[in-house]
Amino acid sequence: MNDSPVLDDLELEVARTLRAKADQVVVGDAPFNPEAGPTLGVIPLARAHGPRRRVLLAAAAAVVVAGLGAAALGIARLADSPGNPSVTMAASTRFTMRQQGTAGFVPATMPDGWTLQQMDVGSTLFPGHRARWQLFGGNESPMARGVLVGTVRDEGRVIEGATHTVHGRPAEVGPSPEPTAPPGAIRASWIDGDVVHDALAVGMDEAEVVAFLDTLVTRHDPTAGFDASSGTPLPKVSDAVVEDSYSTRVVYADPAGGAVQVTATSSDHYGGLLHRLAGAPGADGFVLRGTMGGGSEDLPFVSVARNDGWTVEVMGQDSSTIGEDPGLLDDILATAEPVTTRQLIDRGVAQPVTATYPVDGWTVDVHGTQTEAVAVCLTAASGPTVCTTAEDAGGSRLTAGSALVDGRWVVVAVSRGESATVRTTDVASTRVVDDPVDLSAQGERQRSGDAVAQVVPVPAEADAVEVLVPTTDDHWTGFTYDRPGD
Amino acid sequence: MPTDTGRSFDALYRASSTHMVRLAWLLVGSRSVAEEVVQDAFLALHQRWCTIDNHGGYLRRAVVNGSLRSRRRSARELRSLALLGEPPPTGDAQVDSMWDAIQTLRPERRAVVVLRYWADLPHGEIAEILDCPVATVRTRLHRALAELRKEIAR
Repeated sequence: MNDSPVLDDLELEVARTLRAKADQVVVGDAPFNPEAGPTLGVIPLARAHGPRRRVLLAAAAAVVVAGLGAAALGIARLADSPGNPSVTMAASTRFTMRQQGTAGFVPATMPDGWTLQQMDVGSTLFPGHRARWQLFGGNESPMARGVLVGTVRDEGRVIEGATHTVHGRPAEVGPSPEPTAPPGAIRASWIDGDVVHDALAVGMDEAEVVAFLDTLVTRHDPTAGFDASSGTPLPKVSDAVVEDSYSTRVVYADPAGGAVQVTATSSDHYGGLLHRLAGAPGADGFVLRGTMGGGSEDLPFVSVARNDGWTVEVMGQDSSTIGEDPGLLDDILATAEPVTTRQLIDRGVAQPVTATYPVDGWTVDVHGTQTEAVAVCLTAASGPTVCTTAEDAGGSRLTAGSALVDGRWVVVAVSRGESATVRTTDVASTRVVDDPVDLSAQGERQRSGDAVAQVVPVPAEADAVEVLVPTTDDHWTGFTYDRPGD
Repeated sequence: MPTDTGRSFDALYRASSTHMVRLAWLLVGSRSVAEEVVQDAFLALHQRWCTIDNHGGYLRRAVVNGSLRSRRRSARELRSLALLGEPPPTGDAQVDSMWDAIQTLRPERRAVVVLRYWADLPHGEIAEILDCPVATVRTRLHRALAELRKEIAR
C-alpha cells in the first residue's frame, strides 16, 4: 500500500511530470531476440558467460518518437494486461491479518490534540525473504567495535563497484548507506554463488573490516553464515533469522501540522541486531535513537528492539515535529502497548463514517480520518455488521478491505472512476500468476458519483486475492489479501 | 526451452517491455541506454526463466539496478548513445522545469522518486528492489523532495 496516500502539491507535480515524460517514450512491438546477446558496458546479472558483443537492438531500431498512432497501439495492447490470464505488471502489498496474539504496538495515550491520521495493519514486507544476521563484537553497549553480517540467498544481486576482495570474491566496501547506523559505519558486500553477504561495521576502517571478514569461517551450508575464528577479538555475540515480517503502522498528527508515525515490526530488517550493535540497553530491549541519516534536518527517531522480538519505532515525519519537545518521541514510545487485530479494528471503527454505499443487499460504511480510510464495515440485509481494517492506495484511488462474513470470505473495494479488478492470486509472492480468476463479475457493484463500490465473495478454493486499480496505462497497484482465519 | 516457458516469457515481454523501457528511461534520461538496460534485463531473465519464481519482480529489479549501473558509464559512451535523440520538451513549462530538476537528483534518490511517484510502489517494495532498509527509502525520498523543492524555487 502507499505509505503516504495523500500527496502534497510538489509530489503531485512530480508524479504528473514523470507520467508526461514517460508517455513520450513509445516502444515498437518487435519480439524479443535472445540471440542478440548482452550489450556492452552493462554488467550481466548472470555470472560471466562468454565474450560480450555490442549489438544494435532490434527494439531500439523500432523506437519512434511519440506519434498518436503508435501510442494508441501501445496503450491498447498493454491495457489488456489485467485481463491477460498469464501476465500482469502489478504492484501490491500483501496483507495477512493476524487473528490471535499481538498484531502491533500503538500508543496507549497521545498528548492532547494529537489525532489518528493513518493506520496500516498487517502489511508484509519482503515476503519469501529469509535472511540470517550474525553479530560479532564485544559485550559493551553500544559496541565500540562490532560487525553485523547478513547472509541471504538472492539470485538478482550483483556487486556494482568492487573495491576489495573478501573471501576471494569481489567486494564493495565503503560508507554504509544505512540511515540509522552510527556515523562512520562501513558496509561491505560480496557474493558467493547465489548467496549474498552484507556486513555493517562500526569502530573500524575499511581495511580492518575486510581483514576481519576474511577471518570468518564459512559454514558448510553457505546460507548458514559464518563462525568466528578462534582467538578473534570479535566473537559472535548473537544471531537472528528474519523471515516474513509483519508490520503495523499508525500515524498521529497534531493541530500544528506535525506528524509522528509508530511502526511495529515483528522482525526488523536486521532482526533487531543493529540495535544490539549501536543501541543501548533499556527496560524492554535495546534502544536505538538518532536521525535518519544523521543530519540535523533529517527525521528524528527512537526505536526499541524488544526482548519479545518486535521492534517498535517512533519517528517524526518532519524534522521540525519534535523541535520544541525533544522528549516527545520517547514519551510516545514509553506508552506503546501490544494490541490485537480486533483492537486495531476498533480504533478504526471509532473514527467517523466518511462514506456509505448501498451495494445490492449490502451496506458498506467507510470509516476514516482527515487523510484516509482506516476501517470498513459490511452489513448484509439480514445479517450482522462485520468490520475490518481498510487500506488506501494512490490518493484514494482505491479503498479495500477483506473479512469473513458468516464464514464466507468477502472482499470490498471502493474505487474512483473505474471498477477495481478483484482476482485470485498465489499465496507465494509473485507478480506473474499463471491462471488468475477474475472475480469482479461475480460480485455486486454500485456506482455512486465517481465512486464504484464492489462487494465480491471469494470462492472457497482461493487462498489469496488481489484487488487492483490502474495507475498508468500499463501498470496497476493495489493489495493482496490472504484468506482470513476463522 | 519448453514451449510453455517460451510462451510465458513472450507474454511477459509483450506486456511489460514498454513499461520497463519507460522506467529505465526515467531513471537514466537516455532512451538508448534505457533500451540496452531493458534488453539486458530481459536476456538475464530469459536465461534464468525456469529457476526464478517471481519473474516480474526479478525483471523490475534488474531494470532498476541496470539503470543505476549504467550511470557509471563513460561520458564518451553516453554521448555516443545519445545520438539516437531524446523526446523533446513537452511544452508544458511546469513539467519541463520539474523534469530538469529531477535530472539533477543523485541516481539513488532519483530511483526512489521514480519508483514511488511513477511506478506507485510502496516503500517496502522499493526497499526490496533497491536492496536497502525501508528507512533508507524514506530518507532518500525525504531528501529528494527537499532538493526538488529548492531547485524549483530557484
